[in-house]
Amino acid sequence: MKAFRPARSFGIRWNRRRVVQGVLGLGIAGGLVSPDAWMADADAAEIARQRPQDGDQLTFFGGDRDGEVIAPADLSLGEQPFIAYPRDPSSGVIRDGSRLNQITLLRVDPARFDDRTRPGTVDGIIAFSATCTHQQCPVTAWDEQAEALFCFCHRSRFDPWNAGKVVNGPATRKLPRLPLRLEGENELRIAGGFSGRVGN
Amino acid sequence: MRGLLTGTAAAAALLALMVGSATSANAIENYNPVTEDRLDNPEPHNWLQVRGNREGWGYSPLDQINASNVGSLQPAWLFSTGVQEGHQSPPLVNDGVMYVTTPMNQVLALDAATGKRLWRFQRELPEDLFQLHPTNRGPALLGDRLYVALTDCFLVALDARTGEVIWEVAVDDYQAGYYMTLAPLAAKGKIMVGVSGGEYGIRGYIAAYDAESGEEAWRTYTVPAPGEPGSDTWPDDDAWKTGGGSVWLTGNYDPETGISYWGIGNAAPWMGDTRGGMDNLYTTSVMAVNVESGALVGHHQYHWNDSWDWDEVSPPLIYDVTRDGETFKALVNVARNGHIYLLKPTAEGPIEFVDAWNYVYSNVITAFDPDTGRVSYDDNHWPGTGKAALFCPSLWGGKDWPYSAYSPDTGLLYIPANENLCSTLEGAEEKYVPGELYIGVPIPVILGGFSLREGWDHIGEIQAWNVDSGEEVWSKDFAHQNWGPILATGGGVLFSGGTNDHMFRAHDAATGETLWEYPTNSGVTASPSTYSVDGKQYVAVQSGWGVDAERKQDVLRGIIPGYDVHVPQGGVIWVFALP
Repeated sequence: MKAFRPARSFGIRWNRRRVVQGVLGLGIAGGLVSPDAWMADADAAEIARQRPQDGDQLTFFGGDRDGEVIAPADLSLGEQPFIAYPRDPSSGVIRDGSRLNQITLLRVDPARFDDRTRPGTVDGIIAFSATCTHQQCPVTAWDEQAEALFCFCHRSRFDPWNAGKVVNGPATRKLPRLPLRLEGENELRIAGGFSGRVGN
Repeated sequence: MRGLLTGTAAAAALLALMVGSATSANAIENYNPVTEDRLDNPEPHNWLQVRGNREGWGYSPLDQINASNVGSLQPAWLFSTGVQEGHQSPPLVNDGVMYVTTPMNQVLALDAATGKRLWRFQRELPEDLFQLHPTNRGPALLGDRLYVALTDCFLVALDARTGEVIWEVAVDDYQAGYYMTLAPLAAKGKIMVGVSGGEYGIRGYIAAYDAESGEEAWRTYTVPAPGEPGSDTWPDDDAWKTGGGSVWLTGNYDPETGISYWGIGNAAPWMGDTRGGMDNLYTTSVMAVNVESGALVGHHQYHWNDSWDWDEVSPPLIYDVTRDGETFKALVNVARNGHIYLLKPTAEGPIEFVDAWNYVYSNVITAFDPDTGRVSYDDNHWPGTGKAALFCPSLWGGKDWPYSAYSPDTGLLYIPANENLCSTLEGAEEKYVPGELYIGVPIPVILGGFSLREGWDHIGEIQAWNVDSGEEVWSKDFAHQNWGPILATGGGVLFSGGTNDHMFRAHDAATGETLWEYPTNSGVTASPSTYSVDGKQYVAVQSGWGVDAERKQDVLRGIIPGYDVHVPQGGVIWVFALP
């Protein structure tokens, strides 16, 4: 068997700028590339690829506040969900080394959570994997009419008040949850790993 | 060190992705190699390429199954593909061996008479891959090999006798949003493919690979770089780098001139004002590409500065048309923008505009320049960034990707059309992030923007047109959508599915009368084919609902009061024959 390299090099992708932020967060100066920086770069890449961890912060993905840490006050009832990435607070590295780490984050009416869903929410703020369990498209929208999280690609819908169960569409498995907690009075943190297998 | 890191990572990625495998229970003996002469002059008993011939007719001269006996058609055998999502690929048949591609990077080789599995290939998808269109529209056969363009943007050459991988090449980076849905085009010793991903802000192209070695021969972009011909139709910024122009379907090919004709998708992002309000060549165009050199030798842009998501995905059909007493080789295209285009190719490449007219209700295009075919727009129906506008047909167009067909027996062009559905879009600023959706219209706006025309009484249609006279001969209505590619046969029968009631149907090619229908497991959005083995004719099609048919079904549930039909997914290959 013969395999050709692609015309361009396709590396394992992570956001270079974010990694550099992470390296700076570790206290290593940027600029000239040294063996130490190479190791730090590799470490940062490894951290970026890890799944969300207990204690991670959440950061905006895209838009004007890309990379900023999300606070509870950033989320309002009735607004479209945010797509977020976890951030390792000790290194400052945003864990965007895999798109399977994308999180959909929104605030809904907390009175409607069922008993199994309520733990791991913060005053109506709830987080799910943003990767659809059907064909792995990003679950980025809120369908107001159906009151459900919605996948644009193939139109599966998920119920946020009932642990992300499938409302309709081609998906057959619920959207995995990501538990949240407050650190201190006002810091939103991840409280554990995804509740199930991410993606399809 | 950065170079080392990138190289190491790339090598790791490539190794990790080399995971295709074949299970070969029955190597095929006495395989009849598919020569280019056979592709140029296909035998009636085989179906060697996605539309049956180079010219894209979707026609077979077989007539054992015909209008007088098709009512007796019954299943001969079935084969479950084992995967979900949109099954769109026609079964290809070469002397009793059937090849079928499915979603999830799968290729099946089956005995065309019995359905017995001969081999199966599947290339594992990367764990982080997501795509809007997880489908495949067919393989290509050449020599003793099968070529397939995959969802993770790999092109793979398999041994058609065993399914073993001969070579594979990463055409582009799936993580940057590049993928492939089309069947490759095999001609002049080359395997040609095109990339999809306009909704991710890719820069589209057609690429050719040496059929023997897999080495890239040429790459022709659908969006020119600064200084290249057509670049003056783009603003003086970086818009061209993310300009879209996907290539969703196999080009048709004229062996006499060595020119292939490709339908090019819309530009990215969707709203035209983000691209300077300029023409944005060669998006929403037909590109004429010399197969030997890759040179762009001609084009015609169906509509400029697309702002309606009207990917002009279809390659034009090539057949003789008579106008004003002159019979000429024509390019006939059923455009997503709701119009039929009659064009005249030249041996050198340039394409002349002859005529165009609408086949569904259209409120956007108001006029065609009689000499150049350049369209004028009604500004009231032209959306932009911060400007909402309602337009018809909807963003799925009068006809989306499902193939039209041409029958030389009736002289008619058959169109799987959709009428009465409209869209409202309003763009919003969006930043480009590699590998993420780059549409420029908020998703809730897209989803909430569909509407039916006042007084609507149906959506789906099959239309039959005489392009010589420019007249519609008959039209058949379906209550809801039609996503069914059409097969025409020498038996005077059209085969097509496309509706949400699971049916696969036969229609009289002369009148449109439904002669036979059969309820399948799911919905039929695949292209049918027909062939014969030992003198017995079969009709084959995959049933497996998904992709845009699923999306449109969801839209209709939201806008038709009380309508709540769901179509189950899951693929089955159906093969029908007379008793």
